[in-house]
This record gives sequence, C-alpha cells and structure tokens, in this order.
Amino acid sequence: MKINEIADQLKASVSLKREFKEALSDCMKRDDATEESILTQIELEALLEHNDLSRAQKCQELRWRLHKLRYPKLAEAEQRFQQAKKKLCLPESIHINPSDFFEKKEIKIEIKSRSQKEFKEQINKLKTIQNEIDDLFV
Amino acid sequence: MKPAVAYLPDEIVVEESVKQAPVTQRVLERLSQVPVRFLPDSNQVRFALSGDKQAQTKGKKVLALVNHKGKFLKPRADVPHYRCYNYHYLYWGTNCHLECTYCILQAFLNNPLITLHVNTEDLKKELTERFQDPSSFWRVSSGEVADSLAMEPITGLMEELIPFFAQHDNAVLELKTKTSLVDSLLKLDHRGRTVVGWSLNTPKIIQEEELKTSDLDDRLAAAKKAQDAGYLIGFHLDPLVYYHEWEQDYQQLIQKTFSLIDPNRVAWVSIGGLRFLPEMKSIIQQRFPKSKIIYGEQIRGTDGKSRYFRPLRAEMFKKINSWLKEISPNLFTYLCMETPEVWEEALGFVPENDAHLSQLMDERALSLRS
Ligand code: SF4
Repeated sequence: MKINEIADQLKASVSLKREFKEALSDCMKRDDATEESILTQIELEALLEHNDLSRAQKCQELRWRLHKLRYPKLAEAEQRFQQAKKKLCLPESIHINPSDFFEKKEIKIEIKSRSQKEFKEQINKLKTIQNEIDDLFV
Repeated sequence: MKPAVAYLPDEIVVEESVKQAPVTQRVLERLSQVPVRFLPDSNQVRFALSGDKQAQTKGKKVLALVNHKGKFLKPRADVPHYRCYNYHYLYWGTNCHLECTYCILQAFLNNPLITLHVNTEDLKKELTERFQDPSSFWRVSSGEVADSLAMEPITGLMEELIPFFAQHDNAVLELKTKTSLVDSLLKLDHRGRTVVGWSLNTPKIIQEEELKTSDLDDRLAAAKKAQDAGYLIGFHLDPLVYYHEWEQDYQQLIQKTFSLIDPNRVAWVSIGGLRFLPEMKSIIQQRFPKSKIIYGEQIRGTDGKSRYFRPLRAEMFKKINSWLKEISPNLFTYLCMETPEVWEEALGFVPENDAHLSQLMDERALSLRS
C-alpha cells in the first residue's frame, strides 16, 4: 500500500501507521474506492509538498484528514467543540474536555491552581464564560 | 415472500444421557435423513474445532443435543450507564444458523456448535420452582442466545413452553425471531402469557445483512397470523442501521407494518442501534467480506461496544419514535441498551432505572392480557 511508504517517509510511529492503514482501508471498503482515490480526496499530494510543515505536523494533519473522512460527523462535532473552546480564551491552567467521543452529554473542567489568588482568578474567568458554555455541549 | 432457510445439519451429535428425551426423539424423527452419532459427551466435537479458523461456519453444521447441567434461567447482565429493562433469559440452546452478519453470538459463544439443551423436564422443573413466589414477576426471553423460532419445526420446544407459561400468572415468555415459523403455535392455549416478537429491518438490510432469515413480507405475514391467533406481539426495530436512504426506508417499514398489524394489540416496540463487540469487526470482515455495516460512524461506548456516535443515534431514534407515535400515540416504545442522554433526546423522558422501565413494561403486558 502506498500509505505504508508515506507513513515511513513521515517517520510515523507504529501505532499511527496502523491507524492510517485502518482508516484508509475502512474508507476504501465503505466507498468501494481505491487507495489512490481516497488519497486524492484528502489532498495528500499537496500536504506532502507543503514547505512550511514539519514531518510531525504533516503526520498529524494526515491523521486528521483520514479521521475526517472516516468519521465525518464525529470530526465535525470535534471541530465545533474546539472552536467553541477557543472562543472562550481560557488560560492554560483551565482545561475543558468532552467525554470520550461525546458519548456522555457532559464536559469535564479541570483547574490547576498554585495559589488562592490564582484560584480566584480562575473562578472569575469561569464565571465570565458561564453564558457561552452551552456551545460546548454536543 | 421469502421464508428463512430451513436448518439442515450435516450431522447430529446426541449425548447418551438424553437419548430418550422427548425433544431428542422429535429432532431425530424430523431430521431422519441426517447421520447421528451418540457420544457420552458432546464437548469432544466442539473441542475438535477449537483453533480452526472456520470453526464458526463448520460448527453450525453440527447439531448437538445435550444434557444441560447448569441453570436454565439467567439474569441479563447489567451494563452501567446503558439502560434496559430487567429480564431473564432462557438458556434452552445456543447459536443460530440464520447468519446475520452482525450476530453477537459469533464473538460471544465459545461453543460453535448449534446446541439444544434437550433435558426440558429439568428446565420446566427449575421454572416451576422459580415462579413459585406469586409476588415476583418474571419476564423471560427466549431469544437471547438463539433465535426463538429458527429451530421450532425441528424441536417443537416453544410449542411445549407456551402452554407451560400459560399456567403461570406471574410470568411472561417473550419470543424473538426473524422467521415466520409460527404455524405450530397458532392453535395453542397461550392465555396472553406469551409475547411473540419480531425483529424488523428494511428490505435492504435484511437482504444484505440477515442472510438466511425471512424477508420482511414473510415476517409481517407471520406477525399478522400470530396477532389474529390472539397473541400479543412485539416488534424490535433493532439493529437500526444508518445508511444513505435510512429515513425513507425505515419510515416505509413502519407504514407497511402497521398497514397489516393492529397497533392496539402490540405489547411494545423496541428501538436500538447497531452495536457490536470490537472483536466482531475482524470476524465480520473474515466471514462476510461484502458487509459494510462495520464502516459506519461507530465509536467505542463506555461499555466497550462499538455503537453509532451519540447525536446520530439520538437523531435516528427520535425520528423512528415520532413515526411510530404518528401511527398510534399509545404504542409503547422503549430504547434498548441506551444512555439516559439518548433517552431524553429521543423519547423525551428517562426511566429512573432499569427496574422502572421493567415496571412500565409489566404494566403494559398486564393491561393487554385477555
Ligand atoms: S437471528 Fe439472531 S441469533 Fe440468529 S444469526 Fe441473526 S442475530 Fe444471530
């Protein structure tokens, strides 16, 4: 498979290579498509020729493109969640994550505080976003 | 109309201790053309297949008539976060020849033979003991580890069990099938203690994924016969499969069903999405390479099973439920193995727990008893 060569070229880890192969082969079977046509669909050529991206970045981008093709609705929800989260401009010490694959309709908020002062700031930040948080519930 | 493919094994293996059992006698008489081997223990046949890559397929060609020494009535396993009603299942036999690509038994059973627990006197004795407490109510499913009626023409087992359940006021027997093999049940005195259930799907899914089962028309004709014979019937829109034309196809399925069936004599309709153990993916790829159902948007649920991404399931269930309620607002619908989130989104309410859902179902069954 061509994807093996590409994964080697990008120095992808063994598990990532397996992930690429599985997503690609699932899409081929689902769509009765050839490897060639799937790789064209995800615009692989252009990605590989991209000068501003490192090998690791290309790997991550390839992973995302295959994931998006394999799980379009899930990928759309993930993208929406990330965009909504970005809009909240959270400090690095506050993490908001959905449940795995959005299976539960809940979000997990994790705060790392090193002082009472920092904790108060974080709580205040959370208060300011309380009306915008609805977009995070997929 | 296309009926289910009749079961015809290459060989029957009989454990010597159940040689004289009435079910054994019936099976041997009805399959008199099939070679028979009598053995002290059928396990040697099963073990001979272990490690064989074709064990699943080869095992289905052997019918084992065995003396079951364990319990016949087993509780459904509890699955945290996913709600379903409480019931017991009847361990009258295991495995099935109908070859649904998604059949969970392929990953779940460690015995590939089609096995019948023919010591039914022990089975009835155990049930009699368990049903003795009149304050308890027993929902007993016979379609958990086999199709309830796929073997009926050979075994006559349900024909024996339905009148037995008719004698017990605190129990209901549920059959679940993808066949039309009800003729031998129509004249029985069931006293409303048996619900005959059909798992329904669209013609496309039946043709592509439920390979040896009855087609939709055949199943519905059988459901009509059962309803006309006074049985309560149930439907299982399960497993729903997401594909391009699913809306149109499932809506037509519902319309067709209730153009034949009186919704007022339907005990319940369950709704459930395709779900499978992750190890099933490679089994399906190997045994049914043409099947595409494993390439949908299935994610890993908190119970470890692959199932459609939640918003997708909720959307499907909500629409299916609304089409059913358009037919009759009184239809009792419930979700099979679903999270409270999906219950809320799709049906607009969440049973407090499994016991609550069970209570609702008991009330429904009792209210429809004649
Ligand atoms: S009818 Fe049920 S038990 Fe039989 S193969 Fe299909 S899913 Fe499995």
